[in-house]
Order: sequence, then structure tokens, then C-alpha cells
Amino acid sequence: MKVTEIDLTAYDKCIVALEKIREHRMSTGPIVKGEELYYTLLIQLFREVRQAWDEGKPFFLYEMSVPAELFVGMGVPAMEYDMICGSMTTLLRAHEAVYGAALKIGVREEICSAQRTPIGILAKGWFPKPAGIVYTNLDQCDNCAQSANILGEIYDVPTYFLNRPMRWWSERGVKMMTGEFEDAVAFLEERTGRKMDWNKLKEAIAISVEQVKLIREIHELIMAKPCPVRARAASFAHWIRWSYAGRQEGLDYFRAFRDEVKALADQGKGAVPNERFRLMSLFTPPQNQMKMLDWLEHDKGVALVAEPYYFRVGPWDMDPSKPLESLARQYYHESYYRFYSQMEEYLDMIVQDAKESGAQAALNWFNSKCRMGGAMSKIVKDTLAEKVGIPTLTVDVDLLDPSPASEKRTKERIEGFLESISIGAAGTASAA
Amino acid sequence: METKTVGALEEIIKVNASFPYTEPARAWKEKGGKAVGFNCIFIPEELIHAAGLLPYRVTGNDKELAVDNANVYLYTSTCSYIRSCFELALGGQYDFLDAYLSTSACEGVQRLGEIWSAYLKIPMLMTVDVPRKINDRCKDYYRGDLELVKKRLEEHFEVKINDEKLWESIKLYDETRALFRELYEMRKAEQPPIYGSEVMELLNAAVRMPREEYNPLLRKAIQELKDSGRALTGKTRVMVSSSVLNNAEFIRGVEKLGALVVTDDVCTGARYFWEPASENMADDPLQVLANRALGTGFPCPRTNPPTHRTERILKMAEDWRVNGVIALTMRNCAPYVLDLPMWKEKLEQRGVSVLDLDIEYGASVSGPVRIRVEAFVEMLSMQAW
Repeated sequence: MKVTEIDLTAYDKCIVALEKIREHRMSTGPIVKGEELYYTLLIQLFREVRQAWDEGKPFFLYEMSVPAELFVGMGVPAMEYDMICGSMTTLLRAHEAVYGAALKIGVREEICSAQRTPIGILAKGWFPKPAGIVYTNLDQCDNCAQSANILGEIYDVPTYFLNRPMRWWSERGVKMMTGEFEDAVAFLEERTGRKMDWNKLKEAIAISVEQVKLIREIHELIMAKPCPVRARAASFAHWIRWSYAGRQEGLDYFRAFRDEVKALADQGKGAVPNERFRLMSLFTPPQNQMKMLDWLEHDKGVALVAEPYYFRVGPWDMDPSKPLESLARQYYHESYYRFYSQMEEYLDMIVQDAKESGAQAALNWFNSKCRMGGAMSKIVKDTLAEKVGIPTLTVDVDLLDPSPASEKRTKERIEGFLESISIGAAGTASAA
Repeated sequence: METKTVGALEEIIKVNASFPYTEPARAWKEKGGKAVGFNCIFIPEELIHAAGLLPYRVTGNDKELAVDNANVYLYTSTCSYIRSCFELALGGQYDFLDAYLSTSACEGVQRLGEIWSAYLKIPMLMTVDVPRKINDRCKDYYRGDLELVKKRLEEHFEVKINDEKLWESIKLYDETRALFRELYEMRKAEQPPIYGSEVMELLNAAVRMPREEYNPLLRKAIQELKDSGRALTGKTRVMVSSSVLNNAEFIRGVEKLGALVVTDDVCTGARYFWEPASENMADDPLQVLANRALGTGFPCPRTNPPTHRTERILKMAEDWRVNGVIALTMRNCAPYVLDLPMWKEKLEQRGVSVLDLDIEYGASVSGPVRIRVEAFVEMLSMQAW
């Protein structure tokens, strides 16, 4: 299973490809500051890791939802690997090669593509070798909790598992999580030979607190009529939060994003040219089919006015004297955790968002390899119908792997759903 | 497969015939007793038992079962074990349960409890949060959850669970563990006295009847096996590995093809009884239970770090002198799929072949599965020569 040769040709190609995409986006029309920053920061992260590798300095790979503030405090580059490897695979159009490499190790297609992808990329030797890997269970995701064991084996690097408890509301949970962070710091110190800079960590957390405030503002603004946020923006923001939590660049991004959205909302302008449908988006749209979101907006007039998975973040007050405990408390309030945690909490969250946004219907982007989501697809539909009175379309897609769901078929299903909403709305209007 | 009859063994196996509402469970309920369902070994049965309740392990049927109704609620990305459990629940076959204790052990187990509670309104449901990591901090946290379970059982059933009762229950369940260890030791013999399929039947019955009735029967069965002079032969020695497997028919199918199933790595088998509580002693019985469940003896594939588990599998293969391992990868069981690569190669490097068999829960040894198992057994028997 161990990889003996690392070849960064593919990695470097991704940097070039991203630069071209950014240039293309900027040359073909007006690009909002937030979007430009997104591409810039994505490229910057690739470069930071590449530079560390070239200079023989330590850097880390970490899984989605591991607090990036820890690495900022340590002063070491670090990269979130699930989505980055997904982007690499899409940029290189290397799905077959990557998933084939994972399969050769025994990681089959029933495993979520977000975890199969890094396994495949590392098995190909396409990533620089980190000083260590930090991963977590993202509450109760089996794939997240275990895939890094294989990553560690493939690259022969030490791993640290951050065990997040389910009972986030309890002091026991906070105590446990704080302890887990303490051990994570010890791991990072041991792997780098450096000491945590606690002042730097506090600064990072203070920045993160500001980021959260902006995300909460955006969450409210997104519900304005017409909707001032583009559908793609939510995925971008989510990635920035995972990758730039605690960094000034991340704060600059969220500020730019908020300013754009607020400006549009203040002017009563929408991001979608001809807003006809105001829908709720559940879980996360397929990251390999972002053009589907463009199609929804431009061809169908769909605005995604509620995206609780990305934006419904709880408030956060940090205690400067207890940075790790503060981090433990905040990470319980990240909205996406609820999807992977207790079903009741997730259902409460989406019901609230549906009510506040006044969404006409919901699109549940159901990642067909996700067991937490799969088991909830019926109850999500039933709950939204019963408590909010709106219909839900469960869209079977895959997060990163384009093979299980054809774009044509998905579009047909969505079109049919939109038609049924129109008929329903017309019926209501004529009855009134 | 002609063997000498062992009376107590037959008597225990008979319990499974009336699954899920077994005769002993029915008798318990008819006397006014209450039954609490659980379907994961991270629920310490001792806690339920100490409350004067019958712990009953919820499983799917130990044969192939259409799960069309469960598919509506849980979607096919949920493993077929969980869907099988819910299919039986939807059919009212678990209506005799008075409560259900779930865990966060894996995605499927957690969602099963939640969906069950949402659509079928079981009188009491509680989900126990089980850390994945083996360290003192996680054991303490888990102990805290056990404290919540204790309180909830006391409130719901209006009973009192004191330390004395808990110690008694721990002793009783440790007795079962010791008996199974004794039985498994007997399976190390060149010609073991019992088939793997029979052992699976014994294990199934253990969690479907009152333990006070079960232990004497198991002790008697072991003694009878010793006295019987049974000496089984086969072409090769095999270990069966999976996340969960209570399908005695499957093992019987493997054995009919000439293999001797001499040990296992399943949570309804060796992992269920491996680590005695007495090896995890503390002053507080709840801490003992927490230490045992999150012990390093024979961890679940979900557990971190994976090294303890890998070492146990390698050691078990060596001690039971297995020629091959049949790894039953139930589709959509992520913990097992992601754990298998951690030990498969290591086992093969030691000369133990591994058959990675992609199946659904309750599958029998027939069709393509039979062809693959038969070829594997043949290959192993040729290697043995």
C-alpha cells in the first residue's frame, strides 16, 4: 500500500489550471471581489504547501472541520484535503485514475467520494508528503473517521485523530473536545519541533470570531427578496471557512462577500437575473457539477435562498484566557455538524431556515454514498411537508464523482419538480 | 457433516427457532418482565440486566430477507444489516420491546434508532454516544453517557440500579465470556469438537434469553462436547471476519464446502465476549463497563487507533492456525471497508490468504458467492498440502 515515489506534476498542473480559470473568469465578464478572492486564496494554499515541501519545511494535511486556527497558531502551512483533492481530480479530469487507485487498495465506490478522492490522489503519489495528518469524525461520519488511517499508511506519516463527541451541548463534551485539542497541539509540536504560539492562536481565534459574525450576517442577507447571493458562492464560502479560519485573508474574503451581498440587498437587486423560484438547498450541491447551479440560475430563474448547511452558524463569544476551550465551544456551533449529528437537531435547523427564508420548496442534494444523509432523506421530506408545508426533491448525486448521476437526468428531474411548483403556485393563486 | 448429538447444544439452538420473539423472551414477558432492545456491543447488557430488565439484541433475520419496506425509510446507502433490523421492526416483530438503546457506533446504527423512534414510536429510546478513540479521556466521557443511561432506565422503568446489582450483573456476564473463551480454546484443536455454525447459533441464543438460564446451559453444552469425543475434520481452517454476522446458515454453507470455521472476527462473535470486565477493574462499576467496551482486547473496526485490532486479528490467525480468512464486506459498511486494507496485506504477508467477499447481510452460500467460496476453500486446501 505504501507509496515510494512522489510525483508533483499533477499538483503543479492544478496550480496552472486554477490560474487560468481565474484569468478566464476575470477576462470574460465582471467578477465579484469575493469570487476573485476565492480563486486567489485557493491558488495561494496550493503554493504555500508546495513551497514548504520545496524548502523541506513541515506542513500538515487535515480533514474537513478540523479547526485551521490550530495550524495558524503553530505557524505551519496546512491544507484541508477532502475538498482540495476533489478539486484536483476535477481540474485534472482524473476521476477514473484516482478512484481506480483507491479501489486497488480496497476502497470501493460505496465509500463517499470526498474520502475516496484523497486516498486515490495519495495512492498515485500526487501530493507532497506532509509532516502529519490531523483528522476527525466530523461528529458521526464513518468515512471521515477512518479514511486517514489509510492515508497515513499510504504515505507512511503519523496521524492524529480528533474524536469529536456527539453531545456538543454538555460540559462533558466541551471538556473532552478541549482535551482532544490539547493532544492535537502536542502532536503538532512533536511533528514540527516548534511550540504553539498561544498569542498567535488567540489572535487567530479572534479573527475567526469576526468571520463567524460575517457568516451570520450573510445568512440573514441571503434571504432578502430578490436573493442577492449566487448559488456557487455558498460552496466557495464553505471552503474558505475550512481553509482560512483564523487567517486575515479569510476575514478579508468574508468581508468582501458580505459587502457585495449587502450592496445588492440594499439596492433591491438580485444575483439571479430573473428570479422565479426561491428554493432551499440542503446538504451540498455536487462539487463536480457547479455549472448545474449556473443553469439553475440563468435558465430556470432559481435562487437558493436558504443554505443552512453552510450558513446557519451559531454565535460565538471567545474567552481569551481559554483558547482551546473557546475553539471547542465554537466548533459545536458550526452548522454543517448538525447534518452528521443527531437527526433531531438537523431537522430543527432546516425547519427554522425554511420558515425564516420563506422558501417555496427544497432541493435535497443527496450524496448517494452518504449514510447519514441517506437515512434522513425521507424524514427530511416528511418534516418539511408537515412543519413548513413545502415539497422537497431528493436529488441523487455524488459529491465529487460524476459517474453515478448524469447531468441530463438530474436536470430533467429538477425541471419536472419546478414545473410542479409552478402548477401548485398557479393553483393557489387561482383559488385565492 | 455427521456429528454426535449434544443435548444442551440442541436445547440452546432451539431458542433461535422462534426468533425474534423467542420462547424464553416470551416467557419473560408473560411473567410481567420488561425487555430492552439494543443492537450494538457498545451497550453494556449489564446495565439493563441490573435494572431487572431483559437485554435483547436486535438483529435482522439470520437468513436472506426482502427489505423493501425498510428501503423506503433508510435508503439503500444504509447497510443491509440495519435495513433488515428495521424491516422486522416495521413488521411489528419487535413490538415486544419496551425500550431501545441505540449508539453512535456507526452511521447506520445511530440513524436506525432515530428513524425507529420517529416512525414507530418506541416507548423509550436513548442514543449512547460512544467515542471512537481508545484512551482514558474517551472512557471517562463514555462512562458519563452510561450514567445517563442508568438514570434514564431508572426513571422510565421506576427501578433502582445500585452498585451491588451492577457488580452482580458484571459477574454474570463475565461468566458467559469465560465460557465462550473456553469454547473458543477448544476450537484451536486439530480436530475441534464443534462447527463454527453451531457456535454462531450459541452466540445468537445468548442475547435472546435471560442470562441466568443461558449460562448453565452453555456450561453443560461445553462439558458435553468435551465428553462426546467429537472430532471434526475439514480440508482447511478458516476464520470468518465481518462487521456483524449472525447468519449461522452462511457459516454452515462454508463448512459444507469442506472448510472448518474455527474462529471469527465479528461483533456477534468473538468481539462480543473477548474482553472480560474483570480485566478492567476499577472501584466504580460504570467505569469498569466503559473500560471494557473501549478496551484494546478486540476492538470494533470503527475504533482508533486501528493497530490494536490489526494485532488481534494477526494473533488470532496465528493462534487458531487458520489458513485463510473470509472477509465478508457487507455493502455500505464503511467502518469495515475502510478497516480491511489496514490488515489484509499484513495477513497475506504472513501467508494467510484473504477472500474479500462483497455481500449483503443474511446472504447464503449460493450462486456466485458459492463459486468464490468454493474456489477459495479449494485453493487453501491445496496450499495446505
